[in-house]
Amino acid sequence: MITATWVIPLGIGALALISFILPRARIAWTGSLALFYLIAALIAQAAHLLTTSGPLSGWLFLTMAVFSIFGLWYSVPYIEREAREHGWSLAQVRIYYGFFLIFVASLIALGIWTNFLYLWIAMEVATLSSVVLVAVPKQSRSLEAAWKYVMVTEVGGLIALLGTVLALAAAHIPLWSWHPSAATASLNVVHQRWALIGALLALIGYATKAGLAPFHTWLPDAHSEAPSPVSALLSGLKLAGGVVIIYRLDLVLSHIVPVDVLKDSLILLGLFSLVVAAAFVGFQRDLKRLWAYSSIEHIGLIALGVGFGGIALIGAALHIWTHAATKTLLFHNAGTVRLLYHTSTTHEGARAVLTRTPWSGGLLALGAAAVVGLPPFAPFWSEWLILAGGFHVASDRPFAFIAAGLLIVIFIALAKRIPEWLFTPGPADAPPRHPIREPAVLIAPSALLAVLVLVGGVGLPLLVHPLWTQLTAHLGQVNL
Amino acid sequence: MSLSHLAAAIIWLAAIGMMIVKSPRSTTTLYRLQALGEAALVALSAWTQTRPLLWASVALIIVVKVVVVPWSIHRGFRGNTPGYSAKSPVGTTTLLMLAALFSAGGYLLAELGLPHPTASGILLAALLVALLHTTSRYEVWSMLWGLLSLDTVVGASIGLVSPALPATDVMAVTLVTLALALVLALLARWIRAIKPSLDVRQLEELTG
Repeated sequence: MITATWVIPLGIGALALISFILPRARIAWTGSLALFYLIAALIAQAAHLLTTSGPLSGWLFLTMAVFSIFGLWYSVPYIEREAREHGWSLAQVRIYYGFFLIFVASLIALGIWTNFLYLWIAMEVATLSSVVLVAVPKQSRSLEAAWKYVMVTEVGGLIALLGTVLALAAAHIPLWSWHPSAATASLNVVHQRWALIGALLALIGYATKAGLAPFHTWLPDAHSEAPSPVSALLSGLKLAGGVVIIYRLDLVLSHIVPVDVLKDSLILLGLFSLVVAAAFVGFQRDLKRLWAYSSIEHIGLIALGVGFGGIALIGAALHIWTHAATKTLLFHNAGTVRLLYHTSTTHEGARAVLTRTPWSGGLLALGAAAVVGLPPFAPFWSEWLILAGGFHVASDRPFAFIAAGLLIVIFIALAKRIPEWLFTPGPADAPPRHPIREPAVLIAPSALLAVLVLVGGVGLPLLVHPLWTQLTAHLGQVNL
Repeated sequence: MSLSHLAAAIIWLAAIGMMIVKSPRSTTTLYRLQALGEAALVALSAWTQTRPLLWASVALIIVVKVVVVPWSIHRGFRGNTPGYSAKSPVGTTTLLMLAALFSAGGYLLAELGLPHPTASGILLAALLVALLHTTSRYEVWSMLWGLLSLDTVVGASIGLVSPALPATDVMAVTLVTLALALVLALLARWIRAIKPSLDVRQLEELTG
């Protein structure tokens, strides 16, 4: 039996290094090798040959690995076309594959590592590698997005490091521990105060990394300007990684700091994120920017689930999966729309998508229906669990009501906006709208993702039944 | 005054200096000074706690922050000197007054019970000054040094509040600093390649 802790991140990291020295024709091979490496790791996990430290790590590894595989798969045809259309140099392609693999390795580490300092390092590597990936098109807009991204999130990262070390030092929890258990030592008032201040600093820092409002300012720019496979991983996986670190930290500090402060902070951040998404999502004309604001909504929901606790916590864990599936589909779809229409904004020509490109239009319609939480799609089940958890506890009920109201506002905004891409024919003087050929290599990954979005909400827990049972048993015992 | 107070004071002074100077060369010198302050704090831990491995961390901090980071940032900006300027939404006097205010706040905060309250207070003051630096300048070159200043202050602070920090962890954090500096240098170089100056107000296309 092999432990996944180092084998998977370092294996992918080694492939990243190799991609920096391969000739141009072979660069994409490292992506394919990484893809098969991750598939082998998932098979090993299913066969109990690969172990992770606890069911939460196992669940996160599954999520990170599956959607990284989709990212690697979609990258090959997407980058080949993107590089050809925008005249990318060999160095740009090399940088893309090298840093994309580093990004994937750090995301896997975020899922399976449990040492707080190494989790911070994994988050930093994920941030820095994705900053380069956002900037790699070397256009004015992408560089602006990357600069804002690095400045805002690195300040957050440094605050998170200080807060984490402060909280753990005050709570006498060793920084080098890979299995930190909840601190139970009785602390004096001064240490309790510093543990709380540290926890709140870490919360602010990691909330910045997670894109929770009001620390989200970098997110719409970075998500909309990054190459689509990167946007998908940023939205589906990296943001959730930030909230998971907050959860893990709150768990070990829950006996020594006022737990209501931590829970209420997460609920407030979650609600504020829903407010920001509700306020802005209805005004977006760029498909990727629209999904970026939707990401703020969904990371807010995950934060709410952690804050509510109980059944909502299980909902949050499931939502990490269901949101990643849906948002990977939608960002890949937006990338395909951008490649086929040479834009993803309605006013520049991305219109009548359903008639001109039926596959892309159909997948957009399906993904949009899923992301607003309509049944029977996967996000419906996890959102239901989160809200049910909120309604279950009397003190959380008002927040759950507000969240439900904001979700309805977001639903209406998206229901009003999405038809503009799908059906609007465009101005009368616009050139004739011929159908556009949709390459199967771009559609196939999204089509498979659509199956996951359609049945993944209840299908995945059934498919990975032992892991899901362990996870729900584990999270059911958590009393934040 | 103890040596830890002196090292913390050097870090604070360098943070203020980096915020107000108008030349990249002076900023680099001040950053090196700040890094030496951090290295001195780690060296004091290594000496007082008799932890030989920490000396390797000290060596790594010096190599990375005194030599490699300034070199890579300088390389990133090579040939771009005409793009330098020192624009800020407020004047130097205002910046210094704000820095004094923030410093007093940081110093008082540490009195709430942090270990080594004097040194911790000075470092908290430096932290707030570095945060002010990153938000108060318009040029890419100055903002990135502000972020690196913040990084050094945080590195020194975690060593002070958690004296038992393993040497390997200190080294790992230092290597993250190196990665951060390389990414910042790369970005600055790419921005300079497509823009006539390093003023971030030229990067205002993304709205809404």
